Amino acid sequence: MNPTEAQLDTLKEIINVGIGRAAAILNDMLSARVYLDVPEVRLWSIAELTEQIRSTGDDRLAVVSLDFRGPFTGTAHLVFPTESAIKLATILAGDDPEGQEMDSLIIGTITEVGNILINGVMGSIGNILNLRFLYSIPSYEENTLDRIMLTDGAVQDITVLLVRTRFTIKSLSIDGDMLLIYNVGSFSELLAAIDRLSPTAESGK
Amino acid sequence: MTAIETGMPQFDILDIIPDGMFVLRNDYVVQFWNRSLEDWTGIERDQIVGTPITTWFPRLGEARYASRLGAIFEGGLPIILSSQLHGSLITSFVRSNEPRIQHTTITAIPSRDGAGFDALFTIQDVTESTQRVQQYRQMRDRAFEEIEERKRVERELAEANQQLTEAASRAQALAEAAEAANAAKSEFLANMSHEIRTPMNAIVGMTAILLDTALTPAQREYIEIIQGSGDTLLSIINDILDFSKIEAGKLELEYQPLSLRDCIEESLDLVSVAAGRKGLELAYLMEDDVPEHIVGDVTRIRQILANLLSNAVKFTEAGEIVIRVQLAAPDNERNRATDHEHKTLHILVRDTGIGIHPDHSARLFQSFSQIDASTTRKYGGTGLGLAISKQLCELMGGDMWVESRPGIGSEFHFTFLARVDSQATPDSIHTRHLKSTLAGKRALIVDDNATNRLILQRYAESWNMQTDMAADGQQTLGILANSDAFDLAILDMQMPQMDGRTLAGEIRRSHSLPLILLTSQGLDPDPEGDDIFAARLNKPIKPAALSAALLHVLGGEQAASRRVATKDSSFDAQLGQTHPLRILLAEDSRINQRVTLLTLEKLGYHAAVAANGLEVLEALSQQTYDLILMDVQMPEMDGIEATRAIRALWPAERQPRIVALTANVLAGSENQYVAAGMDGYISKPVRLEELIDSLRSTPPLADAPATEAESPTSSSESLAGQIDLSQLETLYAMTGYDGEYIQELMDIFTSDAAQMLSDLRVSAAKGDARATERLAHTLKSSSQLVGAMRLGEQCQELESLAAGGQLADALQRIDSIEAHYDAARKELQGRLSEMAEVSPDMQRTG
Repeated sequence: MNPTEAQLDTLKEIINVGIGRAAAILNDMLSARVYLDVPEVRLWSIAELTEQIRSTGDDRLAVVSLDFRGPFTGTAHLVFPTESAIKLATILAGDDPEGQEMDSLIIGTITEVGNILINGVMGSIGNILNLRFLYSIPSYEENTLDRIMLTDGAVQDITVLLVRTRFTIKSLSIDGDMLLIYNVGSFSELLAAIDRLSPTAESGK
Repeated sequence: MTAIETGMPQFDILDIIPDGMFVLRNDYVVQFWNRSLEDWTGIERDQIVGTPITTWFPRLGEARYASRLGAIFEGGLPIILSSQLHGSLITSFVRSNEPRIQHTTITAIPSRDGAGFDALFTIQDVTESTQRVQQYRQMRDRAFEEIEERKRVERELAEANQQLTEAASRAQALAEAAEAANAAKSEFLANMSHEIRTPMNAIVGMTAILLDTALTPAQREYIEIIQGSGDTLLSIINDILDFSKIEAGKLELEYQPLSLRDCIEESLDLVSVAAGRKGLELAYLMEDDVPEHIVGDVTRIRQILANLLSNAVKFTEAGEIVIRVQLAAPDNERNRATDHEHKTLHILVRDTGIGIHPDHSARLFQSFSQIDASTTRKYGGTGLGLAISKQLCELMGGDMWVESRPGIGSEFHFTFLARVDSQATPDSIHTRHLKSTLAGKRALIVDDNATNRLILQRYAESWNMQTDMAADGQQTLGILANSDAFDLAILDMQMPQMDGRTLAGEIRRSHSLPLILLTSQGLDPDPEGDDIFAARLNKPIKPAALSAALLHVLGGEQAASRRVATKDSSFDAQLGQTHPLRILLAEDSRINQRVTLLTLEKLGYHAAVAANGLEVLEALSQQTYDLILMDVQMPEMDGIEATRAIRALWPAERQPRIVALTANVLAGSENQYVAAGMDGYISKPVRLEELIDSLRSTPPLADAPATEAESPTSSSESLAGQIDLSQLETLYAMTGYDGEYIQELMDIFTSDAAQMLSDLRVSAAKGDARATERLAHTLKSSSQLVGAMRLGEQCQELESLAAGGQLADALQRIDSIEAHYDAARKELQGRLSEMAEVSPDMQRTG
């Protein structure tokens, strides 16, 4: 079943709130200001998604994943193109990240950033839609998107919710793409929850 | 509190986990504190549980943690606090004073009171693992650096190696180039020497011939200038060649017995005229302990002396030039003699010339160096002479040096190692006779030159004579007025105030004692004139000449016969009669042919000429020669090859003496000539004396003059009846009795046959059976054609043997064939003459 325009708009609004909270936390952590664009929110088939990501030319990605269970079950993936991940991690950890090597620096830092962003969005969904989930501990991996999706046991015709935003740190001339992918078995519960919210959502407009 | 108490047992399991764990309620009050944390922080669980965590660790109260922790208390969302971004949240100084690195994961546990969540902090201490990782990484980096360093070193090594290889190959290439250049230089010198010597031969030879003709005084003077210049040019060429040979290490010394005295006197002779013209006194003094007879390279010793003497004459305007010969002092560092047989001789040549500034004396012995360029202009010369002389001394185990004072004069010293020639017989009988005649006799020595007086005194005293000295005419007359006990007086011609001749006249007024005149060569105004002098001596004073003169004066011996023979520089036109020789001159250059032929004619010889080696072989097959003067470099077949062929092919009794004429005097050439079978060589330009020596030392062959009919292998009887007349008649008829035509045929036959005989010898000597067979066959056919049937048979036999590969006695057979051929040729000629006479009619009709 395809979401309506109204449903998508509501969802976009909810996610935007979560992204905003995450951005605030990141701003706190950095002395520089991080801008996160208003996210683009779409539903994709995995085939479409894979094609889309391949077209960016970024084969290898840094991915932070968070499994959740509850009214609906799925995994939230935060996907950084490697280039962006390295830039961001370097900025966050400072010039001399205690002499640590790049790999562990990126893993530690990107995992935390991913944790913040996913928590922002998931927290926003949970709070606003009044849904309660159980979460696993976030994990980090570097891989191609295909493999990430396959290790989830996902099938090709499954639909994903793609949240795409762009981060910019103007003072440091750094920008990059961030993809938040919700791989959920069914959107019906989500859409139902949005529908239950509708009067509030409409009043919010 | 109850909730905590009841909850506590649930958490006990967390005590055994090595990670630090604690539980916070949403008001930050600590609900649990595990044992690991007690260990890390020293804070007991009882102390901290129930109190706000921020009182212990204020950092957790910061706003950024509040906003993060809200997510867990409200929504149960897990939180990651990375070590990279947070360091250590819970201050802990386990094991060291270093702050710990902690990785914190905060997960939600349902709150006891049912509302929201408590936060379970799980703190992993990653300090050690991080350090291990860092150490590993550093090790890895170091290893990496080492590998990089090693790679760099290897790269540098490889580069250095490459450079070394390149340098080596460059050096190799340079060395090869240098070697090639050196070879090219030697080649060039050899060629240049040849190219220069060939025309020089003509110049020197023709000049000598010209001087022997009737000339006006002016013409004679001009030609003598040409001759002098030619000699000079030759000596320069010789210098350059010597120098090249020494440089190339190719100069070899020739050791032979020699008389040191003769060597010195000959050297002095070379400069005596020039010294006389400048009014310079020449003298030499040889110490008594110097062995006169030694074994050494006389040519080189004379070369050194001649060089030093000519320099001395060149650079001295007035005074004297004295040679002094002595043994090197035993303790002298230059004395290299190691036993009694060997002596280091020390010769010095002293002059009273311009001298050499000490600064310049080192440069003196360097090649191409005169003291300065202006010296070269004033005095000429290549500047090679001293360099060569010094190197020659070193080759002979000695040295050369100079001691000089500008304006006073120079002393050139040289030493060389010589072996005493114990074989030489001392002139004991002569010496005894000399001493018995001269002993006790009293001589008055008159010379203004102290050196000459000393030398004359030395010699006279060595023969046990008594001597008195006078330095001028007045003193002499004074001495004579007071004493008449003198047996003779030796007067120097050139003296200031009163010269020797005037003094002699004065002496004659009152004394009759014999007088000996001492004069420089060329300066005796009237050499044969009056008989006021009993004897004349040329300076430098030579003991042999002096003793001869003294014996003549005191003992009545004929001094004239003892007069030192002048070099045989004039042509002996009678030589050809007194010592007849059949000479073949092999020379391709027409000019040189002419020069040598003319020279030989002057000596009374008529020589045959061949222009190359092949012509030599041909000429030799026609006639016997006693001497072949063989140019080495000729077209077609050179002199070496021709000599080898002659030595291989001709019978012993017909072997001529072969003397090379060569312009190539580089080292090694002589050996090559000898190896080829030559008996000697004359270097071009041909010097008359050398040529005469060669002629004189050539014995005529025993069978001289060989007639062509005579053959060493067959008697004349067996050679008769060579021609089958019927065959000859047939041939004559075939030509229509044309006498001229048949004569032409015969000429062709004889020249072809001669050629074929010569070729036969070559092919037989080479062991070339096929060529021998073919040549024998051809000669057989043409022999039979002209009716020389016996000759044909001989050829047939050789042909058959050669066809069977048997060449063992081929050369003897060829001798026999040649004998038959000679006989056949004569007979043929005779028959043809007869036929021409008997058939004039036929001739006309034909």
